Amino acid sequence: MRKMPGGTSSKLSGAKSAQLLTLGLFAVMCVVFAFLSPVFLTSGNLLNIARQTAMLAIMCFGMVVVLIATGGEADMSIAGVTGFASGVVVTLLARGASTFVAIVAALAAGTASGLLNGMLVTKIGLLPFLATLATSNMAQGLEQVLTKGTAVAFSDPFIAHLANGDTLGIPTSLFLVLGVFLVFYVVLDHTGIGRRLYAVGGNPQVARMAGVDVDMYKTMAFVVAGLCSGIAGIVLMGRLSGLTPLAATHMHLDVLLAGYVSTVLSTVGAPGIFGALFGAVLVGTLTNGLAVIRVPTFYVNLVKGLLIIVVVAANAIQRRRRRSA
Amino acid sequence: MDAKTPVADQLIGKQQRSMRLWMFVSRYGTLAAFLVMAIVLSFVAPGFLTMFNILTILRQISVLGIMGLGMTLVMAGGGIDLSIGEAADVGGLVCVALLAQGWGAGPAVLAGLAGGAAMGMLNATLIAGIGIAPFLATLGVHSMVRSLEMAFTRGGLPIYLNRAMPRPLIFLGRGLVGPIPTQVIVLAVLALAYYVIYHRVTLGRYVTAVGLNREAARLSGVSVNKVTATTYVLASATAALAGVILAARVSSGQPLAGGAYLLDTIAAVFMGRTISAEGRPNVLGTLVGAAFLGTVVNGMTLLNVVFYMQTFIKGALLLGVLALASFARTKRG
Repeated sequence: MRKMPGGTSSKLSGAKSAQLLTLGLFAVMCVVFAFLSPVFLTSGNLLNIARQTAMLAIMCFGMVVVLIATGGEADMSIAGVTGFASGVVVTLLARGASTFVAIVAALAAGTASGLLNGMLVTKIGLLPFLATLATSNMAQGLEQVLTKGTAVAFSDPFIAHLANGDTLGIPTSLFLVLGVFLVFYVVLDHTGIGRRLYAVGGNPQVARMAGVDVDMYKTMAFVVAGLCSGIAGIVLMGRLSGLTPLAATHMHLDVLLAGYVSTVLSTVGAPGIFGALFGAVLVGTLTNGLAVIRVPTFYVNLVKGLLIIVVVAANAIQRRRRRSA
Repeated sequence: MDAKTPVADQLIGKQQRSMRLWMFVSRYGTLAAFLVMAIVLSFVAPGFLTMFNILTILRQISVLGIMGLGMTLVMAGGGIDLSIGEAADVGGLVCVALLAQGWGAGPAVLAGLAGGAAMGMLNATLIAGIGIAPFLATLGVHSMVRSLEMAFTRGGLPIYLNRAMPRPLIFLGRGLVGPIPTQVIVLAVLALAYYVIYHRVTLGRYVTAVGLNREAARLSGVSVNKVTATTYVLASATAALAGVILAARVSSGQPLAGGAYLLDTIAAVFMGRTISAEGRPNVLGTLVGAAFLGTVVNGMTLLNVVFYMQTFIKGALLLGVLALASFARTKRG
């Protein structure tokens, strides 16, 4: 649809300034929140942010892998698939399945949705955002079919501990995020798989000529995103001790925003895993901060929508400068 | 070329045959599915094939059809508008809010349309002016406008009038011309207008050119940005009219009501693409798509399919249509 934001390592002053701008934005945001609310900088609230951001971070890792492999095309189904996976885990648990089985089934549901996305994009040739939009709609439908469109309450000790508990005084979900992050960091930045993934997104033709199975890598990116959604779905179910209909859907904007923040942060035009983590922390902090300074919820999406436009516009201007440079 | 061997000839013949089969399936698949579904429904769903029900379907699809017309133009120009549902909301809410302030029907409706057009200009600025990818720009606007709607209606309360709707609006939303609902006639008139704009006027050719190849269009002297901007403004204003009709139908301004039409609108345009010879968005095709979707929903309701199954079935249908449209394109290309 759009020209790929050049996976080459062209050094730019524009990228630097965009990076500084984003980091500055984050700093200003934190200072403003700290001034307006005495609660914001307390350790209790910071741990709260960590807990709230864990799920978003894992979703965002998946989003970034797709952004890398497709050269900047988003996976619009991450929030929908997260809800679907959540529906799977809660339905199975409520019907008496073991924790292990429920978790495996949720991961499988996420993976299968990702595989569907990948096939639609590579085999049938759909635009990624349309294919994933349709998948998202279907996943939401399936979630409602599983839960019969109503809220389901269920508490599982293991999943509750994972989502809300503490280990060594630190939220357990942080360990989960750290674990997933390390895997992504090693694979993306230190293996041939990661390099080939960047190559596929940067210039598919060249990657193909160099012998990379482009379709396979693209499909795998969507599968990984699906798997991440599966993990996030399990965490969501733990946080809510059950599931309310379409609870994940409102994270849609957050995931997109965090993903595109990570794109702006990168110097090479394609996002990286550190950027993904930062993007998630930024959006998580924003959500929390707006809540603690008591901005009515309906203005929150106004701020986030505006930020998406600002971030993506910065990206577009960067890209234009890069092309003319 | 006479260098061809008979074997190669045979292979090419075979390939052409399978390609022709695909073109046939992709071109007439949607229509055939529509027909089969209608026939099956008329047997299994009591009351499906009555004049009353058919007029009901037509009334139900007119809002979707009107929104689909604008989307057709946007997508023909290579874009997409994810904020089209919110443009409808803006049209309806502005109109009803002004009626509540004591405005007359005419000015209130015009103000609603202007509100929609303003939203379209915002989209156009972001897309043609700054160069943001259409789906991201309109997604941002979509969430911003939704948020403003919530703020404006104090958390999503519908706007009611403390007096009766003005006569002309009642006629627009619930009236009949002979046996035919007024909104169906509005749809027909707008469809004709869009048909002329898209298929008979220079602007339509420019939109197609931009959609097929921006760079080539620019080099041939088409002012690409202006053409792109026009499609978004037209689409939003048209959707705002759909919103006015929706508000007139339910005699109130319902916030966040338009968002439900987004995926259906996209699906209708894609269905329409499959039935054109070039695999391009087209006015007639979009109407067929809207009728198809309307019939599916109507049939599911008559058969008492629960609402959450309907979401799933519509999602699956959308995927099927997207796949079919995409197959059609790759086979032709």
